[in-house]
Amino acid sequence: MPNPHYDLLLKLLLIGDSGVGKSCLLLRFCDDAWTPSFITTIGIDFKIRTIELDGKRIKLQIWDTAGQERFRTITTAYYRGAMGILLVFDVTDERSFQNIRTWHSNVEQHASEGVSRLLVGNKSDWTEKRAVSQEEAQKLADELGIRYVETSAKNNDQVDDAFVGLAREVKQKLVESGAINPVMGTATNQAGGAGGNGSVNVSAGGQGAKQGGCC
Amino acid sequence: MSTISHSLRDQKEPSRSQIFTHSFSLPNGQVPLSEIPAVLSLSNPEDDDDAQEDEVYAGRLALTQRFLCFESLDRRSCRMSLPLYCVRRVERLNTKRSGVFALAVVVWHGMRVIVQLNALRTQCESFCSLLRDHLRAVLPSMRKLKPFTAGCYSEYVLNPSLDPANADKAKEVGEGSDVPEKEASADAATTSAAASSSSSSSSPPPYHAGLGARFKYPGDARKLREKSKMKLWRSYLSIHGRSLTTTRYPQFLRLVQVGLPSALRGEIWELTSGSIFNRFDHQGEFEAILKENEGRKTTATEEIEKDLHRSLPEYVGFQNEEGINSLRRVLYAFSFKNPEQGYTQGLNILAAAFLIYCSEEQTYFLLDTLCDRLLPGYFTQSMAGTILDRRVFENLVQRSLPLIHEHLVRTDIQLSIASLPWFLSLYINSMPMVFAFRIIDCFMAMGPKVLFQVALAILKINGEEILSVTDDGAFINVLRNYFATLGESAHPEATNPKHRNITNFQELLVVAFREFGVITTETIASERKRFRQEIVDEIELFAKRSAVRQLRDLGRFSKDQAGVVYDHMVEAIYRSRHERQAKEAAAAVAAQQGGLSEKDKAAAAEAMLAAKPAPPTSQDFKEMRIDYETFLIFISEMATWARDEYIVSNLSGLHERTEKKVAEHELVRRIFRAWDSEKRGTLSFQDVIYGLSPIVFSSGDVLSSVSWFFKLHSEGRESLTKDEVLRLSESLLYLFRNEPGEGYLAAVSQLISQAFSVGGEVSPHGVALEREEKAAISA
Repeated sequence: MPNPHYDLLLKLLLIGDSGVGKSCLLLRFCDDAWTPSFITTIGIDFKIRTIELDGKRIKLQIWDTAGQERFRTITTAYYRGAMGILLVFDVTDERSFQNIRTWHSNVEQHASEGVSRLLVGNKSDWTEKRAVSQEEAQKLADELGIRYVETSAKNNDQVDDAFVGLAREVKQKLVESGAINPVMGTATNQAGGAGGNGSVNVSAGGQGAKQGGCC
Repeated sequence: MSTISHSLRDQKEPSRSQIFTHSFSLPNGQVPLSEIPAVLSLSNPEDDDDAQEDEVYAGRLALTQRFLCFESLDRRSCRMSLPLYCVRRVERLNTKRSGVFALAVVVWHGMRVIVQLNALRTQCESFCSLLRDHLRAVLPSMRKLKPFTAGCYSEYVLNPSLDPANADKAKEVGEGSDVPEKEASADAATTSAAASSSSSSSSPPPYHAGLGARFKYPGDARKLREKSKMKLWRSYLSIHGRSLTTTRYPQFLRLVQVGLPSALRGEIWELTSGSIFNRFDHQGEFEAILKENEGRKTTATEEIEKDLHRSLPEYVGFQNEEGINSLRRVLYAFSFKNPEQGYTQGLNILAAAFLIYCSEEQTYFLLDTLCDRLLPGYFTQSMAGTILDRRVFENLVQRSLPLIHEHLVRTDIQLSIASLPWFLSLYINSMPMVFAFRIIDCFMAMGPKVLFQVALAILKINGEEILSVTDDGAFINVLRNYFATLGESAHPEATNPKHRNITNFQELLVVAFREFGVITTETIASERKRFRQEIVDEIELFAKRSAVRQLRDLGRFSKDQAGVVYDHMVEAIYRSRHERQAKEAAAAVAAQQGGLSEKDKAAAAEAMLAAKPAPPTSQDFKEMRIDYETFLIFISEMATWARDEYIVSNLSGLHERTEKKVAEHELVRRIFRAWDSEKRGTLSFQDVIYGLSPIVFSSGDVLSSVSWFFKLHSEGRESLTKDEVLRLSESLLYLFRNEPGEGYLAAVSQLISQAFSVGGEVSPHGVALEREEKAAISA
């Protein structure tokens, strides 16, 4: 295992109907690649990318889930470890937008309380087939009290904004709740000197974050 | 996420006769009619009389309606599932020794199965006469045999000159074999693939073949030793039977375990899983089902469309319309055949994988066998089988790899993140395809235990690294890295070249079958039994919660109360399904028993087998809805007035119990119609909640009850016609039919006469007379 050089590990989760482009968003964000035909996600999968936020190295572990409705009995079990959740729909598919409410109620039921959420409308490049307007989506986002971002995994439009934005929100929450502040401090200090120690502290930070979410 | 529980509860433990059919890979419904101790050997017309084959096994011979089955005493070495329709004739052998009772069963291609029956003469004779009867009964099937076997690749393996693709291929191979090994490997694979694709694209092969025959099979043919494997199979098949008649001798499993040759793989999968027998019995079903449903769009077909281009996209056969169309036809047909199951992701990957080695029809039947018995309940609405096996696997890990289990629990790593795709996609999603296919070879031949054995071996082999990870991301990475190196040497440092040549994959199989050989089919069965109820409860609770959560409006119910209503609905659906099934079964039995002789009965059974499957219903299974029949059961459980109760006593008169019966009346139909908000002829959970809410919570408020009852009979208008007044009265009489005394009858008749004397219009307040009665209903 390569020694992980990071100050903080964040777990994000992608959910939404089948075929809205969750895996493609992930592929774009983590590997900066795009393919029209990606193998169906069976159950759950994940990718990693390390980003820099305010001078801190943040390792994002992003989990991708199967979108088909019947997989929910299975996939909701993985919600609880997530610190940030991206609710993805396809702007050219009205039904995937309608189903966001159901996905959202799933999050409320199964994810840790206070988890950061983000509404993502993917396939924004496909203008001629658009079925959900930006206003409609924004309205729903307002109603759910979350932010809305429109992305195109194909054209690499706003993909980074979506993931990094959510990561920033998660980190902010952690700092505010006091869950990581002291740990972050030591983690950064030591990361400057010895990376090995940093990683130990980080996992402690992760644990703390989870507990913070639960209360 | 709703119609979950019913099919789930139906999943029973396999019965003894089912275990029998499963172990011999027979189609459903075959039961052992007679069993007898026997000794079995094979001989072929080409062989000399004293054949060099020394393979004689003692075991048990069993006869079912359509099969002659044999299993050696050790339950491993020798096994035969011989369809009776493959038998050309049976001869009684003239054995010189008295007291020896032996038969030669001659199958269509001349192979003789010699069975010596070791039982009392009378037993042997009755076995033989039973065999005779059943051979006669399968006569109609024999006619279908020739065209069927002509489509089996094994015929062309044994008789290469029949294969049109071989004319030019033979040349190719002849030249190729002269080339020194080193340089040839890659070249030979591509040229032979090119040759086969060019020859077969002009005219499709006369046998069932997969996309691989045209687009090249995965892996390097030379590295996979395709040619020598094929040679071994040729000699095996020439002695031990072919396609439908293949008998399993010890060598058989060894040949399976070293990996099947690509061209024969589809047929052997069919054979070992038993799906070939189903395909034989249902010839033409695949095409028929597609034709019947041409142009039909369902939720399942929509979901399938989304996944067609996401099923093994890296395989060249699925990068063009031909492969995609094949996949579409198979998945569509399968979803039409199983409307309740519909389509589950994962099936696309399995179907795509099978299509590389199998024709569309073969794949269709393989999927059927897979969902029916190899991966039971995996791809249903609830995916209960998947969840059950996840639990079973976790428990096996806890028992056999306690250190790893403890570590995973301590670090809060969910094992299923890794194991779920292994089971759902038969490792295709996790490993390089060539290796996954070898696991599938074993899985088809030895059953689901293989998936568990391999999974345990993966964890064991990577145990040390797993113990050093602390989060699930790192855990998955360990396994990913391992899968990426399956083709590499397991002992790169070894001095002995033989050791060095052992790959990680070979080592994996060795660990799986040696160290986890203790995990048997029986282990899996008993573990599943142990956890089934727990999983059913878990899923039912999940379904209930999400159904209640997704209600737009709870009416005046609390969440818990709505949950109780949900339970009643589920119970009603479950009962209604069973009553229907029981009725159908009874009707079928009655139809069969119309004074038929044994022979006619067998013929009727034969005809039933050939009959088309029932046309799929157009019901949408996505949402839980109940029809009128089910509603009757539901309401009779909820309200005392909607059922009749009888006291039934047993013969001795000592025990009495109350039997409930649905009491049907126009009133119930009225309520049903009134609640059917979308006029769909069925009620959703929301409809029922809306409908029940004003009734259940009206106690004390008589006026609102009265007005509800009035509206029910006035079709929503403000007044009642004369006719409607009479209907309303009838409804009242129905409600109070079980109440003692004449009071209610008098009140109702008074109501009628008053209503008629007041005139054409009766306001709801005019019906104040039956206030008290109303109060009784609400209560």
